[in-house]
Amino acid sequence: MLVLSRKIGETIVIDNNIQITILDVRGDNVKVGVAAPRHISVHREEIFQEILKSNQQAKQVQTGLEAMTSLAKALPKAGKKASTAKGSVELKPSAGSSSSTPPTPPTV
Amino acid sequence: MGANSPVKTIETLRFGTLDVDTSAIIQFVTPILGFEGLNEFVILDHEPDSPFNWMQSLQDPALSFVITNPAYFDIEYEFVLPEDACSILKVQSPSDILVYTLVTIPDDNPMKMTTNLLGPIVIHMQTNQAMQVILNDNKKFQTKVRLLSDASLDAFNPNESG
Repeated sequence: MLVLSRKIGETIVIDNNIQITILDVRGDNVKVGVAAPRHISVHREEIFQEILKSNQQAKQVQTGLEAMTSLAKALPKAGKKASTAKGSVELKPSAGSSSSTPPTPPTV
Repeated sequence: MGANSPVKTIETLRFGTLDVDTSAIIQFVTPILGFEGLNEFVILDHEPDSPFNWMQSLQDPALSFVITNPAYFDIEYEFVLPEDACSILKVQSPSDILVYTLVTIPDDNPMKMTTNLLGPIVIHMQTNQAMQVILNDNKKFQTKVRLLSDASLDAFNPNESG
């Protein structure tokens, strides 16, 4: 692991196009700004771990079809609702096609 | 229905041998966390009118996930698709995509099943490219959201108590 010392306002550049800036330091809290191309994913590590753990639990190994069948029997209402519920999840791609201002770097 | 789409025959532990229309194969462009290298899946109906689907791996016969849409369970679920996902999947409009969430069904108490709202599966319907989107707000979106409240379970099973 590369270890660098930085002062507030100073930046690290990774691979020519990812900038990591130290925005503020208060006690043991460090505010970091990340500016990266759109296709680069930036996440808090603990969120990563949370999803990883949840995925492992969701993996169906033993709970077989019996559980699902009993669920299906228990869920007539939810089942009927399915036809009307479709499409009610709304999503808004951020930024869209506007290229006016670059998005502000998310703070981590 | 599909005119001449080639069919791929796959082995699965749960569903036996399946003939899959290759045009229905979902390609994960970034892996489902923890399942690196398994990027091809097919989505299967559970039963007609069921709020559940299965997402079966083409590469690992034993790997299948139960998925759903939280709206079926009256769970309010709205999020802004992060820029990395828009860019990677080339999403132009919300109507380009399908959203599913993974369901965890506890062995000992299936009715206490939960779904993961923090890492939804987003599929571009035209390209069939997919990814597990990581929403960065784990206060707003949790990985263990109950699909069925205790109250709604009572309503389903009025005769069963205890």
